Amino acid sequence: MGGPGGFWRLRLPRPPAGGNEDMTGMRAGALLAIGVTSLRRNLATSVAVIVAVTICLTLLGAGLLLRAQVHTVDGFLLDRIQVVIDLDDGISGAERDTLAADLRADPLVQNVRYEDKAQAFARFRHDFRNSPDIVSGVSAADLPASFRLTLADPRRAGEIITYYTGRDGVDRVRDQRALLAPLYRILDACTIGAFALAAVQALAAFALIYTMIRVSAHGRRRETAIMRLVGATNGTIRAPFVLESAVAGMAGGLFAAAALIAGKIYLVDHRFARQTAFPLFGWEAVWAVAVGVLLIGTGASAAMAFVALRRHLHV
Amino acid sequence: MVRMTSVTKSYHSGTRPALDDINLEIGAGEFVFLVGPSGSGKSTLLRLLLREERPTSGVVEFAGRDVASIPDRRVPLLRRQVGCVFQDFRLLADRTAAGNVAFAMDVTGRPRHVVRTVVPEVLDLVGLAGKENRYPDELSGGEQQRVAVARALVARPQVLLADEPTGNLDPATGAGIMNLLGAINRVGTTVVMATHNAALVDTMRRRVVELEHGTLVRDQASGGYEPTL
Ligand SMILES: Nc1ncnc2c1ncn2[C@@H]1O[C@H](COP(=O)(O)OP(=O)(O)OP(=O)(O)O)[C@@H](O)[C@H]1O
Ligand SMILES: [Mg+2]
Repeated sequence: MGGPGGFWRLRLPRPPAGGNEDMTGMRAGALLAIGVTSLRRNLATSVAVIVAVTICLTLLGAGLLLRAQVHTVDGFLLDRIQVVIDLDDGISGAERDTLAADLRADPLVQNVRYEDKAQAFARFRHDFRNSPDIVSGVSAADLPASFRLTLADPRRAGEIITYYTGRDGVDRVRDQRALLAPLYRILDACTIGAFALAAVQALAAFALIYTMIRVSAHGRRRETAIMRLVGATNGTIRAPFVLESAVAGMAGGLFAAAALIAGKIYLVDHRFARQTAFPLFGWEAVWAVAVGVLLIGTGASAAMAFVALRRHLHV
Repeated sequence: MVRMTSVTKSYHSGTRPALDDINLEIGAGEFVFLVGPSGSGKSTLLRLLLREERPTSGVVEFAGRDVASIPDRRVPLLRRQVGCVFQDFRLLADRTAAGNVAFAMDVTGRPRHVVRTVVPEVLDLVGLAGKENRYPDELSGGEQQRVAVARALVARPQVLLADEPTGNLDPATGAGIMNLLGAINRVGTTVVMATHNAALVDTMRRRVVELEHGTLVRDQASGGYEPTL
């Protein structure tokens, strides 16, 4: 001991005016150190949480991208073309004029628009701007000129098709809606499926975060008891746990974002873009969803930790 | 500094209360021994002062404030003014002596430069100069208790509560801790020490408050462990 008189030298900094009224929490550095130590100490549980969050957010992101895909297809059909009459390249001017007059007079047809080969190519390039492979293999000459019809009643497309198929100068008559119906059904089913699985996975993630907090609160019970004893605020005592969970959630969000980006590159751009005749969602959608899952992962994990703490940490 | 008025504490209704109608006043700068057989309510009395428990009836006042009515949010401020040490030291095994003291300052938001200068200073004051970087399992019991005292001191508490601080120590080491608490008391900190250590109480000749079955049976100015008539 520094001698019995040592205490007269006690030069502890005076508490701020008004006593120890300073309720400021821990410094960020000290806080982060505790949270990360705790994550490392419970490595197995932390890894399980990160995996569950990653799967959950990847499914959520996939669902969101499927919705983006539906919007992309909707945009593709924005001019609401329901029936397209492709014209023979060799159609004469007279044949075309007669056909146009007949269509305008037809009560089933609400609107008629003529599109020449150059216009068709321009629209095609716009619709498939995210699938350069498709665009590069096609030139203006490959696309037919067409009449694009909007019907008064789309359900009667069949009558139009029978009536105009086989007319002079007509190559074929296509009902685009009918063509797309199965696609819409598949997209919708996949979207619902992805969201449902994401919800189930969110439950699993919550259960794991709950366990992680329990394990961590148990492992750190001595530490939290001391914090309480020396006058740490409730916020300070809880913060490392919330931070621990938020860091795990952020890691899950980063992995999920990486998975979605990889999916866009290897699945969407390399595989589907070659196989499908429809335009696919672009990178803007991927970035928006990636940022979204990162924020949701971090925020939701922190919130879940908060809920779990009410049960496992008594302050 | 501390005033208890008709304080009763029952942990379970129906059973005999742990504290029964206690009236006690402790002035600033006093040194008080709290004695009594096991289960007489010493720890319970200290826990009321820390707001670990609330009295079933009666009023516990600290520095003029009714402790039970302090809002939960502000209880940490009370605990910074009431330091405490225990028989089992309650140190973190994965932190050094300096780390344990720094932890208490970190979690109460003290700036890093303050922590850096104060920790060695306080460890020096409790007689641990040169042992700052030892882990608890590399320190003797007496040294571990000194770390705990240093940790309690860094908040500059007005009152230091010690619940059987020498309970795990041999007599000579216990006397060393006793001297340390005495020195802390001499610079103005009120000390309340619950103990079974008769020899210490008898040599110190300080105020003695004795509990039995939760009632205050003796309050003597410079008493010994056993009542002297
Ligand atoms: N958390 C609790 N819940 C229920 N009863 C308790 C609790 N803590 C203490 N008691 C009871 O209250 C009474 C007083 O206990 P207390 O710990 O205050 O005694 P003590 O004087 O500190 O004893 P010792 O000298 O053995 O430490 C005892 O009968 C004990 O069983
Ligand atoms: Mg006790």
